[in-house]
Amino acid sequence: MDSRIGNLYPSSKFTFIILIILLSMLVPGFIFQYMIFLFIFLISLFSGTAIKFLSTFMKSIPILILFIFIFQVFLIVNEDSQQIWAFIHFSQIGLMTSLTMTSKIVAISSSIIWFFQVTRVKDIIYALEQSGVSQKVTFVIASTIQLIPQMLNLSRTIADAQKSRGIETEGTLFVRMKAFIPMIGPLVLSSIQQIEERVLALESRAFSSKAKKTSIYELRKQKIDYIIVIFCILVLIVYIVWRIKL
Amino acid sequence: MKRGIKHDFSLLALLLIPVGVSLNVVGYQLSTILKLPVFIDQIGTIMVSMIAGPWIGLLAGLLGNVVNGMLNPIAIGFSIVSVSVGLVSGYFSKWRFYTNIFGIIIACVLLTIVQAFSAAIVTVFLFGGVTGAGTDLITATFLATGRELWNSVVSTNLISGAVNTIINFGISWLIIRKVPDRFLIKLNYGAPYIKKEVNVNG
Amino acid sequence: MSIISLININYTYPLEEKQTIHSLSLDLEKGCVYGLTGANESGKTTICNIIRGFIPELYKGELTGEVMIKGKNINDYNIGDLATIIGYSFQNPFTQLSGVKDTVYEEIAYGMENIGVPRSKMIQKVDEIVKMFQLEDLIDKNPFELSGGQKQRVAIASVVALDPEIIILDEPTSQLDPKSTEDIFEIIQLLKKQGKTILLVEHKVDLLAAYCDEILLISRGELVMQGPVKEILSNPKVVEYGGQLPQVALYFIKKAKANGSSVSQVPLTVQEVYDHLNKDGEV
Ligand SMILES: Nc1ncnc2c1ncn2[C@@H]1O[C@H](COP(=O)(O)OP(=O)(O)O)[C@@H](O)[C@H]1O
Ligand SMILES: [Mg+2]
Repeated sequence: MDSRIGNLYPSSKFTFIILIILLSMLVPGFIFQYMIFLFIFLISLFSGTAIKFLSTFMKSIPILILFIFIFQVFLIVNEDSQQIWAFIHFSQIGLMTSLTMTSKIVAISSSIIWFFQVTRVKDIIYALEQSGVSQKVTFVIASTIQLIPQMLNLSRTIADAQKSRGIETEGTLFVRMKAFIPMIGPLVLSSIQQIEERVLALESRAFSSKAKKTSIYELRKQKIDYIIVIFCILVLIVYIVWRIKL
Repeated sequence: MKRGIKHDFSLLALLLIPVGVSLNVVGYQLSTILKLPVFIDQIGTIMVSMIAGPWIGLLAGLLGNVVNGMLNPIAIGFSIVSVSVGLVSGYFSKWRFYTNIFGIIIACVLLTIVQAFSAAIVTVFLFGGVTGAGTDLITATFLATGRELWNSVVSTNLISGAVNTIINFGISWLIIRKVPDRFLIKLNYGAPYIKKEVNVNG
Repeated sequence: MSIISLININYTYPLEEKQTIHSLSLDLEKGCVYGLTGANESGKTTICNIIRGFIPELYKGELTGEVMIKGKNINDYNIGDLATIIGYSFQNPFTQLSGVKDTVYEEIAYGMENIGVPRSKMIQKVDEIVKMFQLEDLIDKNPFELSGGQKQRVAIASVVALDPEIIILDEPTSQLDPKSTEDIFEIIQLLKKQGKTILLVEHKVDLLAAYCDEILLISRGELVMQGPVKEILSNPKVVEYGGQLPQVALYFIKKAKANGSSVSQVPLTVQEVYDHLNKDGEV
């Protein structure tokens, strides 16, 4: 994230992925969309996040795409479906649907993955605050991001403690189901007690003050940020005008 | 309870959103650790909607999916499901469905339907009937028996939705029974779950 | 005019039958350090919450009587603005962090951000606070990774950063080791030098004896004793009310009783013991 791209203002990167998402939806066919994946991969290389990008992408997207092909091409019965064996058919229409659908999924999800890998949550929150989003909203986002890892840690501690107190976590489905409550119950109760106290702590830090908030963290827009935003808007306009004229 | 929507967003209620989201994540992790066949990943949303109302429930659902979406963008597509569950469950709490067994049954049935249809819409229109999870096999089976896509996806989601709702709601309900009265009294939607009789102007 | 006045306060928590605070009246003067002590569950935290306005605003329940802050009724203040007048830190070091900041530096600034202090002023103030609380080594750390004592120090620092005239510290040292406790008391002394009014809830009477001007003793929701440290912490009645006396005081009370001399002369701190013994020619 300390790369040049990592240090761009969040809204520049956001405008960029919005452009990509819009184009993937507007451009007909699927070649352009699949090219986007390669393009994002290239940018990831420049951002120094290529490996992270591929591993995140591979975890969820390929299986989904595979299933879409299986469903659309072989299982769903379309007008042009030809039976191959029992309930398995082949459909050219299904193939086209799969290609257009999966190419969009690939393009959009790869740009989202890239965005979150090269943008600090802290920067996103700062940018939201600066653009006038309510303090309550940014507060909730920031505390969620901070709380999740803590709760995961705490849940591990509780799980270990409960195991050592003899709660069975192996065995029949029923036994494992029953283990769930003693593991999550104490977590809920302790977090509820904690937020009760945190309300007071936050009020002591003037959370409810009506004043307009300032920020000690600062992120400045560079010239390049303006260039990127203008460039993205121009590309979109040119594309739309070109499509209309066609 | 005729108060403005703003009234729902006390600081305590806001702080329940991160807790709800984290509980969903922890629930999901525990489900994998315990190798459960269903993912208990909505307890946070349901619990928070029960004690803090529809809007907080909605936000907990939404934020949960957005946070998951940072690692798996598909989750963002399914936000609408958690959002509906949080919102609808919150209204059921507001209308005091959860205080008696008939209300609970009706609420669970309706929640299942809401969950199934919202999930089916996303699944069919965004992902061609697929979710990338184990339940796709059920949908595939329905398809193989010659049902249409929409029909198959809705059927799958009604089955998985019912199981999910019952388990997630059941656990949330059990846990809320254990939440101290002094906490519930501070929340706008906590009153139905208070065990003690409310005295004075509490 | 007293900086804080409680006038005939009665309070009952919601859902409770029994009243928690009974006809409590109290005046605190500007610039003094008050030690609020008493048995567990006697109502110390409840009183702090009443002074800060969290009761009844956040807790609900039934409160009667008047709370005056700087001569103005507390209801005339906005709960958000009170943070700049009354700083309040709590017993549990683990729940006092904002939970939205990932460095100690930003954590300290959080309150000032909320009241809209300009950035350059904020930086100046944070630097000043960091120096005062000796947090130089911690500023880049994640607040959640700190030890209990460090968290407590950061929490107090964050509250002091708002420059409140009144500071309430509710058992700031109850979960801390002796060294961290010492650090906190040094900070209390510094704050006193700056003219802050401090209300300190504390069980460690030896430290109260050394640092406070006055002692308030609470028993079962009632203010049973109030007065200068020397007067209260040498009075055997404190023990009857569930409070504690410094070990040395107990010893000298016993001795005074045996000699038949007055108990108001009892030394409370090591220094006083030293002077006392010196005077008697026993050292
Ligand atoms: N939120 C609450 N609801 C009901 N009772 C409470 C609450 N908080 C404290 N109490 C009760 O009020 C009494 C005084 O508590 P507290 O002020 O915390 O005492 P202390 O700080 O002196 O230990 C106790 O009996 C306690 O159980
Ligand atoms: Mg207390």
